[in-house]
Amino acid sequence: MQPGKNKHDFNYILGLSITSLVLLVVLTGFFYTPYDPNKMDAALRNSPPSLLHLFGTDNFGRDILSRVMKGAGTTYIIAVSIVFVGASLGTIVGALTGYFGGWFDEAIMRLNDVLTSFPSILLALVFVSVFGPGSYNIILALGIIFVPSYARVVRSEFIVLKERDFVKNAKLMGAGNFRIMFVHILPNTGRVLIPSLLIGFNNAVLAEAGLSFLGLGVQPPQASLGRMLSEAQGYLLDSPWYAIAPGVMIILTVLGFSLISGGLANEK
Amino acid sequence: MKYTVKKFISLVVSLLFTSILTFAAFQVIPGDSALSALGIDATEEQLEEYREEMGLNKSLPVRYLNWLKNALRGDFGYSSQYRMQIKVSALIGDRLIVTAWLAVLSFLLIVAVSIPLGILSALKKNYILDSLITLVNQVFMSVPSFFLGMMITLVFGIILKWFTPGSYVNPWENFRLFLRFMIFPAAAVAIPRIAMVVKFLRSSLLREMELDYARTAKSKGMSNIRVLFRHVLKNALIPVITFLAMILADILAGAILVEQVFNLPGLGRLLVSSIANRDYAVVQAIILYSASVVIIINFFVDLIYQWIDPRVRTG
Repeated sequence: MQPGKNKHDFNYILGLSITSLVLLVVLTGFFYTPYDPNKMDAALRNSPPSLLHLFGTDNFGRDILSRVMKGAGTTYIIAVSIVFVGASLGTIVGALTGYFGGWFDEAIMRLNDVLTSFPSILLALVFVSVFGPGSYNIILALGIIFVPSYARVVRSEFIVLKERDFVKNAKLMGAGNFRIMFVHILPNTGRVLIPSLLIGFNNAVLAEAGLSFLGLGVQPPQASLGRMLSEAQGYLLDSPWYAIAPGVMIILTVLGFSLISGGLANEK
Repeated sequence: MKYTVKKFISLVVSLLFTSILTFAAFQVIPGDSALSALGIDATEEQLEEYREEMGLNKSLPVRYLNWLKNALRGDFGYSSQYRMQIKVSALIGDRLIVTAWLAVLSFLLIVAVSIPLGILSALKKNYILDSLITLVNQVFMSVPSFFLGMMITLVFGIILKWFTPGSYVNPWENFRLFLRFMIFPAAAVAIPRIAMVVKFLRSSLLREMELDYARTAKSKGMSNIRVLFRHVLKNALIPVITFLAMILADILAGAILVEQVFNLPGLGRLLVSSIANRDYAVVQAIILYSASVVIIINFFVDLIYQWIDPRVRTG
């Protein structure tokens, strides 16, 4: 059997399990955390993992499990918003350029090429240095930076699909360009769009973590995975568990989604 | 030849475009740069004099051309976070060496480890092993390089004591100690990218092995290993070169974060501290510099590419 040809291969199932587990933890975190994630307790500073505090406590005596649950929630909300901004703009750009083509397509794609050749974190840093740090600016900056990646995928699907018979039929029946683009063609791009949304989510999680790690993303006292790692860095010697919990959470998130998207992409 | 000229024109256009963008991005920031340079105690006359001297009264295109002219000569003015005492170019020069070393070391690590690993992983092919390789690769690709850096510090620095965290040595003081320290941040940058290259090279090799010429060679009785090394490898490496160039740009991004973890006095840390201190002259210079490096690398890769694979020129 060809590996990966089967959607239900081992890695795909593993990805689904990891993602369900991680999502369960994060969704629970919106309603319930074992302790108040921002409550400080001087008596409990830097205490190692125990039955009371499963992942230990940080330098202010805050429960790390609770902070990871809440912090991952913040990271997820930011990442989903980034994907939403990027994918909706990217879909529009990709649909227009792929469907109409011509000089407009040519110009936009050249711009895309230039933008994608730069590391996204560098572009995000330019944006942050101009507009200032903070969650909203991060969403806007990273959302815009990821537009080309979606535009490219949607565009290539549109170029293929616009020649198909069902589109020609719709045209014969008098459907307008915009109806054809968004009612007839767009629903058929899901096959490639969904894996790229998952990968986009991963990139957004990693980018948020990176920017918050540099102190330019989520601002304290709000917890996010990158923010926690940045705080944990100073306590690597005394309380290494502080860094491990949010780090493992990032890895599991990214791993789960990329295994799923790998499984989806192989199913053709 | 025509191809080279075309690529060269596109190189110049991209560089020009980047410089305009870098300049324009920082024009929308509110605030008076004369006021921030001289402080609020400055009189209106002093401010006016400063504006005149720095050419701040001129129109936007003229100011851009002046900035570009100075930038081409390597002059980016003075750094405001050091109270206008240090030239931006001097500030960047020192840091550049550290980042360049980090990039070169990680790139060498990536090439040295990922190409043998990629070939090895393509040689044997069965379902369980395939899944396992994919899984291990995905795990390493999912680790953010800065977290990896922290774990390397924890395991090799704090537990095993192979190096002392934060004990960076200047290359011109003691080059051997410098290299011994730099290998750890370089590993942090390299490991996730090694996984990417292995994945890419492996699928490129496997794809090539399915093509008619490889199957013909196999059906004539050549062993798998011989087919791979004699025929397939050359062709499979071509797309990997472009991928490695993309990785090189990506290393730059990884370096920004990893420098922070290992306390390296490189460009990335200078960039972050300049952003935090609103030292825009330095930010502009670093951005323009790194963007140009990425563009120029891509230009050379395109040239190498068409030299190796003539189909690019004609196709």
